[in-house]
Amino acid sequence: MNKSKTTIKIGIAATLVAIAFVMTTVLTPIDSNMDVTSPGMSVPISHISEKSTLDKAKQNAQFMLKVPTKLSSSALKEVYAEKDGSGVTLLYSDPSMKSIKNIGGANIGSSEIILAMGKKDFNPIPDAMDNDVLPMKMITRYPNGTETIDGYIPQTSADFVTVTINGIDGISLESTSDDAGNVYPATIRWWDNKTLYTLYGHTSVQELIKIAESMQ
Amino acid sequence: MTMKNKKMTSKTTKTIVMYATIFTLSFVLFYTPSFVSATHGGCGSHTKYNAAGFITETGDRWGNEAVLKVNSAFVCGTTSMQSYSHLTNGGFTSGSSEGSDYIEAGMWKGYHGTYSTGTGIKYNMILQNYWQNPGAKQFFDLSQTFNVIPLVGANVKMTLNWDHNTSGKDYYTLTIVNAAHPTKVLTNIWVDGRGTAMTVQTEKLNHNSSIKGTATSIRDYSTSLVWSDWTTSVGNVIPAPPDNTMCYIKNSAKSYSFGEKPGSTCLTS
Repeated sequence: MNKSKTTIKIGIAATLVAIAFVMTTVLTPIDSNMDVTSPGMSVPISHISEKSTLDKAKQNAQFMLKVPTKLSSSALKEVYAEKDGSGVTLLYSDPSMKSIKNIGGANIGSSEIILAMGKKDFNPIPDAMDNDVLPMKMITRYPNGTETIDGYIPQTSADFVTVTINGIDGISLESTSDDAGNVYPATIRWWDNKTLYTLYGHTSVQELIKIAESMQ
Repeated sequence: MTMKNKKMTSKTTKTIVMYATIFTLSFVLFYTPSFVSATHGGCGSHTKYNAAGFITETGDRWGNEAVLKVNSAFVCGTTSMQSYSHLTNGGFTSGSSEGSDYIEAGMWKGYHGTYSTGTGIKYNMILQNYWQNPGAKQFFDLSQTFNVIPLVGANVKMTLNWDHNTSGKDYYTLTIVNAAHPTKVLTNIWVDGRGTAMTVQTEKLNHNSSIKGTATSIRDYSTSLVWSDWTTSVGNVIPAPPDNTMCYIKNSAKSYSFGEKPGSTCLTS
């Protein structure tokens, strides 16, 4: 009888220990949007920009600051403005947005849309469509001053697709991923009246175009 | 209750407890891989940690030069966990309207995708160019490119400077000077735009990895085409302590040491 009780006690204790283990480890939440694996420079955006408000950013902007009416104002979570008024970044978060699963983590959360805009005196879009990129050149320089060219590393330009946003030509790229499993957002970019606009988001290019066309 | 019923009840209870134990332990064993992938079996949390010393000045910055020295590097994790630690010299190259482009070059230990340094450290370079592939980072094994390796304790002068613009594309040049091998130069590195901030920094993946070293003789290249010593630069750690044990010591306007701060002291060697 005592042996039977001991068996039951051991069984209950083992069960409780196991449950506690599960609760404290397996069920610990992990932020799926954190950029956990990708190496790369970490420079806080606050270094080149400062947190601001939309009204303040509009006052200081040296360019045509527009906001998308397709995204509700309540979805606007953060505004960063470059200190000299040359650029503004708006961060929207809309949980209802049709999003692409972000497996590897990236700088942009799966439900976020980032709208960056800034002063640009010339239109960079035609150059971006030009895929002619110089190859990297490897050189060895010896102590006696001589040098040899050891080879070249080809570089490629993104295969941008032309899109039209309210009659203006822009470029687009669908969401991409790298060999480390990171998923990068879809992008559209266009230039209008000395202002360069860029929209990023884990959604389709078509969805971004709709947002862009609602800007005013 | 009869003796027979008591025995039956006891047997039933034992059976329930036994099955509950088996079920629970099975649950634990089934989910253990999830636990391992989150904490990396003794490596701490699977988080990217960073310590940086960088210029506070804003505006155009065309280059960044520093003598880098890795004092020690330890990586906690395996290939699949993509563990790494590195000490780099880099430049942030554009404003917010075009994305956060950058170039950085330094010394790396660990893994990235299928790439592995093995037991030593190697030269590496990471680029992000929003005109090339928005948001995607390109990783280069420069030790393989140049067929040279750095050693722990070696002084390596790494210089990055904006070099030229051709057909609307901005290019950088990287120069690696190490007494152990001839100088290696990589030109025509396509990075969008010129810099707005330059940094020297350490970064690691996994809490129990570490990287200790120094960056000295730090200079930046201004639009006046003159190399100048850093003056008002400050340091930064991301994420904030105490979770992040990485630390820096600003030795002078042009010298930073990086290390780990398990307690109140920043250990850099």
